[in-house]
Amino acid sequence: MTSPLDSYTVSMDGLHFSDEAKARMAARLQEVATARDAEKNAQPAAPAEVLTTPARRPRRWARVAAGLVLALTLGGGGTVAVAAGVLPNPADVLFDVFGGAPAQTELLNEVGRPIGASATSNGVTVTAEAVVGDRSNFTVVYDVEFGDPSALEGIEPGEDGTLPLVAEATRYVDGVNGGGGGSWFFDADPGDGTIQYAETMGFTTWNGAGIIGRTMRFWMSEIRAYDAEGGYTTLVTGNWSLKFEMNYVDTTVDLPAGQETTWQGADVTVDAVAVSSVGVTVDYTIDRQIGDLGSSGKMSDEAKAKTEAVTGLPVTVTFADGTTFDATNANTHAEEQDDGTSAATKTVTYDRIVAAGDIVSVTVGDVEIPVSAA
Amino acid sequence: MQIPRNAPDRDPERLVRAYADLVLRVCYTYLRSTSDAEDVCQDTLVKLICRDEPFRDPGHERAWVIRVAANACRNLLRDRGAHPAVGLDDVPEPAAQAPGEDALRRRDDRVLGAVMALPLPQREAVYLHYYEGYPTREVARIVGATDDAVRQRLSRARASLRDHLKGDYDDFPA
Repeated sequence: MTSPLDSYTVSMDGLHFSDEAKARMAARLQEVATARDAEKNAQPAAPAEVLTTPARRPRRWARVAAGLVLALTLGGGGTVAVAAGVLPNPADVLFDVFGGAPAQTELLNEVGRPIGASATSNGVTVTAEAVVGDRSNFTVVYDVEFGDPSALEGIEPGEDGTLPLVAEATRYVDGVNGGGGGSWFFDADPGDGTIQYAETMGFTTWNGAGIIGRTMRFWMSEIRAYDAEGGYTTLVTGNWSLKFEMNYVDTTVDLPAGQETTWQGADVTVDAVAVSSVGVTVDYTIDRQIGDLGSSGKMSDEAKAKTEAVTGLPVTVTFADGTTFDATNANTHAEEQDDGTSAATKTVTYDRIVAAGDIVSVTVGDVEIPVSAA
Repeated sequence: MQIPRNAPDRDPERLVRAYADLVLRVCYTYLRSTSDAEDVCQDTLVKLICRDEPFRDPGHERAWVIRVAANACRNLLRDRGAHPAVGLDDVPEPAAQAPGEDALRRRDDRVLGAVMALPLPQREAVYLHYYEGYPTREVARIVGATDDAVRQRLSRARASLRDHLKGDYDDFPA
């Protein structure tokens, strides 16, 4: 007679995926691997994706692994995290990111969405609280709750209100092929043992379909505390893995396109312009390519100039109150075409949230495109 | 970054071939169900592909896969705790395609049911030690417990199984 543990082994041996399921998974993983390889290989040659820090708000800009694509089409097998307990008002969560007038509070509640997905590791709970965004951009705020609040002692905000903390985090949205953005920590309610981590990102998608309704996957493994000299200590390590759907109100408005302009002597065609309550996205084709930038590492001045000549096309958004937002340094993704041109996309969130009707125009190069023309 | 000589490659087909069924069994052990296994498997292997640090050797990689998949399952269990969609005390689904004649299969199913009725820490230890073949100190490393704790869990699991399966077997490990 056999041992019961032999029976157990026999039963477990009988558990396996079908060949079809394995082929499906391998195909999806191949997409991820291909996109990741492309991103790695592109780093020295395509600094168009290197992100810069806009002056408006100090943020630690992080490169997002371009092309982390995973088009999951699971039949009922999805495990998108669901909300636990009472969900917050989006405005309560997002107010410290966008700040501003009460009208923005109303707007945030109108277009933002609560999330509530949560993960706990090593006594620290990370909860995705709320999201707001448009077809290409999003801002997510995560609560980071320390079971032992003394871990936060001595962590004081800087002049800009951000905490001197950096997260080791990765995120991707199904179906994206490139993107990036910024992240920062702040403390909405000092003394409650919970700090906030915000990410503002812009992504391009394979087919331009956008990120709304897609699944977001977020992982964080470490939070580091930096000192004034640039040294750091590890505040906490863990394994926080969250997944949620990018469901929020899409206020994206497509503007007329096809205009011609020039940038540094090269012809530019505006292929698409979209604005929303939270950001702007501009697609253009420029009759120039970045070309070979030499070895990887710190970019030479020549390499920076070659990059700027393709990706530096000025973009400005003008609001009804007369203020403007400079989107020139947006997250920019440029792809070289066979005909010697480059197809570029700039996408970025504003430093505020506005009603779509309060956006007057978008100026690309020297072409002003009125929003009322949409 | 120096890549160890024995570092395994990250070919997607190899990863699925090597780990898909492993993750399925991890899911079944933790969740008593395989309905989320494809999703967990996909997430785990995407993390593996995206991981920057190389693995020392195939064994290092395998243990990492088990740990990541197990963590994903724990998160699912926690989420279900807040919003239970499936009763965790439900009778576990039988393993598919268990070979053998009817009597043997019924007995295999009884054993599997008894193992799956164990508390999670014991179930996890039984799976890793008796199915995956990890020595107790490796099981301890994977599940984040001490060697003594793992040995105790295995001892309790065997006692419980012996009690539940009394009469079916005569060579139950002590």
